[in-house]
Amino acid sequence: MPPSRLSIFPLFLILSSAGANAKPLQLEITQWTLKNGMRVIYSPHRRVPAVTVQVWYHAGSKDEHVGIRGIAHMFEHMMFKGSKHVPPEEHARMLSAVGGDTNAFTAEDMTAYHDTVPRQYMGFAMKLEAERMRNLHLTLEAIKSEREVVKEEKRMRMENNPIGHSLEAIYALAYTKHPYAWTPAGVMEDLNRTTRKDYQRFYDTYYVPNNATLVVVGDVDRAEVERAAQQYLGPVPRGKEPPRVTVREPQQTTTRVQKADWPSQLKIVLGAFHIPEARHADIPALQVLSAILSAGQSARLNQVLVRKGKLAVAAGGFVSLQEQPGLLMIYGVGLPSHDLDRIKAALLQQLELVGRQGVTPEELTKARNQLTTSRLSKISTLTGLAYEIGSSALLKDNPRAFLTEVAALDSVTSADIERVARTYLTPQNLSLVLVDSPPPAPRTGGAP
Amino acid sequence: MTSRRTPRRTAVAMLLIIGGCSGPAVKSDPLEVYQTPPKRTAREMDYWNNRTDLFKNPSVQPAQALTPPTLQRFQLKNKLSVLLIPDHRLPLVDVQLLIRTGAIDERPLPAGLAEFTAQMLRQGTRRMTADQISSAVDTAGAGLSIESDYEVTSIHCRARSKSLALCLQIVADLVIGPTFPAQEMGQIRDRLLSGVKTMRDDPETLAAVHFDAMLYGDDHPAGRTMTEQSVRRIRREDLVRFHREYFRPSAAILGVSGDIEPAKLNQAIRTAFHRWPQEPGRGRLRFDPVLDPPKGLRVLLVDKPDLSQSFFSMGHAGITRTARDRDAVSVLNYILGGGGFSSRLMQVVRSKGGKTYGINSHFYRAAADGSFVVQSFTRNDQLVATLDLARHELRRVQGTPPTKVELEAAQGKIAGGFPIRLKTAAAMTQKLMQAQLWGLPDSEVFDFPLRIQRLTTSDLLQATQHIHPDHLVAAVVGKASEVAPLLRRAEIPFTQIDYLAPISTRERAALKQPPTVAITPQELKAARKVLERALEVAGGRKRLAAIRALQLTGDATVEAKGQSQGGTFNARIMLPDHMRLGIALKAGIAVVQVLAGTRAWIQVGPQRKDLPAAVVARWKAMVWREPVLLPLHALDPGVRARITTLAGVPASRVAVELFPQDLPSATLIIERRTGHLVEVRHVDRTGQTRVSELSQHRKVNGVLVPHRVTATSDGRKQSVEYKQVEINPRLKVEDITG
Repeated sequence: MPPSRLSIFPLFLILSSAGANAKPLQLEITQWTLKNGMRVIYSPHRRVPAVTVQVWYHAGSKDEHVGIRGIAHMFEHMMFKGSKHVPPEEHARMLSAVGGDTNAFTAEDMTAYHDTVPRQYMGFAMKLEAERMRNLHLTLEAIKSEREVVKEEKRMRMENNPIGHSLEAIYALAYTKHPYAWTPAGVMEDLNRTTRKDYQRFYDTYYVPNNATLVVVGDVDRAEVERAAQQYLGPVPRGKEPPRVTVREPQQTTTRVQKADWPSQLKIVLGAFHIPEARHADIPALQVLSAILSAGQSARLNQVLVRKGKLAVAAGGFVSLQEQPGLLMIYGVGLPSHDLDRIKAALLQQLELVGRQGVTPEELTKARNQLTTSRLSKISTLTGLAYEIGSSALLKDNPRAFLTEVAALDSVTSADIERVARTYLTPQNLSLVLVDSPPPAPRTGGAP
Repeated sequence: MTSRRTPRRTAVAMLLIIGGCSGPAVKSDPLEVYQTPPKRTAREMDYWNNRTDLFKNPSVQPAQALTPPTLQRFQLKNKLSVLLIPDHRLPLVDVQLLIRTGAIDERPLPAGLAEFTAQMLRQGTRRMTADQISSAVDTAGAGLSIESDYEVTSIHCRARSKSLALCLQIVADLVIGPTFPAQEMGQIRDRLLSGVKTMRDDPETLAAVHFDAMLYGDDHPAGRTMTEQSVRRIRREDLVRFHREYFRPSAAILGVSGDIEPAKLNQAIRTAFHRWPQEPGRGRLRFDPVLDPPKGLRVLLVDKPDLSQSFFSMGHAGITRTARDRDAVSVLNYILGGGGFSSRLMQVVRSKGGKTYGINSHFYRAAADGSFVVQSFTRNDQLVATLDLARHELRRVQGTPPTKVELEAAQGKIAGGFPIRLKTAAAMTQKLMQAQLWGLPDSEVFDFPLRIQRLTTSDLLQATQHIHPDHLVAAVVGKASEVAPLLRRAEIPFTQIDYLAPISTRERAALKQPPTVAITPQELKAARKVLERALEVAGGRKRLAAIRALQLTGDATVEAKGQSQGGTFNARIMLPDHMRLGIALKAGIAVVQVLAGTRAWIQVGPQRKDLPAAVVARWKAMVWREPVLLPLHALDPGVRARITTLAGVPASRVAVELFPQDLPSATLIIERRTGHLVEVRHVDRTGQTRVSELSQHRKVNGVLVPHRVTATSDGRKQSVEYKQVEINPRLKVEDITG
């Protein structure tokens, strides 16, 4: 049976901004759904004779609960450790033997597995993905030994990495009820007590075709993809509709501050403001705001804090887009001779300034151009394009969102930016993590 | 040398990377490996053994040469080579300039010069200031990056098609007319210093850096590392000179790719770059490739007591970029240790040995001298066993050379995967430019898959001659108290240093034996006369010699960059070698330093960090220099002294230099009229002079105590004012150790 086609239309987009020499960019993105509920998204990319086959599961750390925090990330590892027809580590070895690469990542809202292979092995990659979607061989031994890997990874990430530590801390500070409070890295005591049953339950709940999106980008034709998807992934039985997270983070009403107690060679100020979910109408203005504050060396925070003020060695911000309300982060990093309080004050002052005075037309043009080049750069490789498609599909339920949002980004005005700054970048909405480097040794007769 | 991860992988860089992606918070590689590995038991594998329905590999298709893209080449009059590769799929262009220079050309100037010069290029040119450059780049939405490596410096501008002219102009401007403004140097210096700072805390990088130093020695450019000292010694004229001598068009290739019209570009490129002057070539210094390879295994143990794991880099000299058998060596390395899970090292050391989650080998190529390095980490108590297993595999690769099965798997990956790795026109362009830079033809790139495919097992056997399991050096960064006994028991010769020690052997040796100063008996007598008076004024020999312990409590103020912070201070000293110093700033966290005989640690909040032997020695010296006791200690037998003249010390004061045995030297400044000790100076391990000013001298139980101590260094001032001074308080060891 041919796959049912809910929507197939190629999208031809003209990417241009002010100025001549705009060339129409042709980008075809086609989507359909298999009978078992699996969404398939295809886009041709002819630059290299390769294809990337990616399965994006709509499951991430936010689908965990206290007691199993870290399990989603554990699956990222377990999926390589053996299934019914594929011994441990053979998935990677077999793809490697044909010149392919394979990898995966876990985020709060999704876990994605990607295999990039020469074009003639597309079917084989799909076969492997279908296999581990429902045939994973979960044993207690395998779980225990992989758990040690993950625990050690977490320990190493924390030990010499005050920034990793700070990011984990700020999520925990900003979220009191919502599962975004913990990151995909999970929590040590939960990693230790999760049982085989927990794993099996998580796997059977979320690793089902109706909870997965197959993204195929490469030097292959749509007909080939339809055929192969139907052949290998079509037969995987549909599962129950998985539960969705309905917890709402209550509105934050006052600034929260945590002073770090972990060692750091450099001083760090990390701030986070609650912002809406990825598909909210205010997000484009927040993205433009973030670019104005942080993109490039002429950006406001770098100019004011680093170049002119000499208060820090680095300063900037970024928007953490999530499927549910996320965060806008700002940061400043200083040497031990810099002053943490001054860094913090300068960062907050810059945000307040935007809320009061907005931004200049030059800054808006600059941000638009930067965002455009960045987007083009991302989609210039087949894996980059697949990533944009996958994230758009999972975060905004629209695989073309990364293209259609161009219009929204281009029409952001200074008034919009003032408004979102005043709405979201407020003290009541702010969580702060402050990391101070140890002061030099106090001296009596001399210094060490 | 390229065998090290550059110190730029700093906290700042990591934050910028994290900041740069609005993607997932965790991007971990499940195939990456960590500390203690899973050992596959036979029982686990039972599930798959003897099965006939397991998935099989599809057949590997024969490798094909790459289809060369349309390209155009020409050369300007000033010998700049140009490569153009059009690709109209996206409205993007890339302008890449590769110059054949880097750290390799730094000597005899300080390490870090090449990178400092490269980073300064965009800080100002004859046409534009740093801010104008940034503004122009950002406004166009372009990206500009500059990188400096051991042998290659690169400038890359990526933009939308309509900004091609801007990219060309800026790249040309940066390389032809940089002005190295003095006022811009501070920011770049700070950036380099923050990288150097975090390098010491990254055991993997530290091991790699020490390995290079061991392999190449202090006189080889690949053996040198950027340090705080070397960066601080770089002057503006060094930058100017380095640029003038080494940034030459004849040593450079310009690559322009993407949405371009080559026919129209010709003229634009000539216009932008023709002003780049052609300097007469300078021959490169010749130097011995590496030190005489040692027999056996020579180890440098770098003590970092807070590590539960040891990181090591072990290896020997490698091959050059143009070595005849470089392809066979690549494949051999893949099989030995470059190919991830399936590599021999990984199989033996991880899966079977259970020693580590990660081990890899790599041939780092250079134009003249390459290296071969095996890198891994393991629990401290497994270090020697892991080294042994790795060495055994290096031997075995000659005795049991790669099999056809191993060869085919490697060929599948390397040949089969090559075309898809060159993902963009820019990537292809860069690959071709690199080949050209080393004098290799385009076929180096296009025919690569075919050459790999044509290799046989006997080619690989031949290539094993480049592995020398019996001539190895290894740098190990770990907890010496656990690792040293193991090395001794295994009779592996090693040298031990602490992780804060200089990388260069010469600098380490210099620290150990400061040049002996000749002092005449007359000079000594004159100095002692001054010191005897100071001792009298301080309370006299009998009283000071009776001091066994001190407790000092007071207010502390820290001033830096015009800002001031207050807090409290507490010091407890039990002679001769127990001390507890605590400082708690109002706006900060409490920091406590403890010296307890042979151990030392620092506690920041609840976190405690053990410190190495060198710090123990330095803090013992600090106790010796305690102002209350220094007038007595200065007259210890064996302490040589002389009066000296110092700039800035007025005639009303006299400076006496002290040279104690086994302790760093110090200078005392004594007020002639009162006999008060008013200043103590000493030079710290980084070569900086630390000054403590002493004032508000008052007697406590007949002992003269300066109640205000102000320490200055690096533009930072720390003052302590004692509110309470106890001489010989009742203290127990627990009052020190907590």
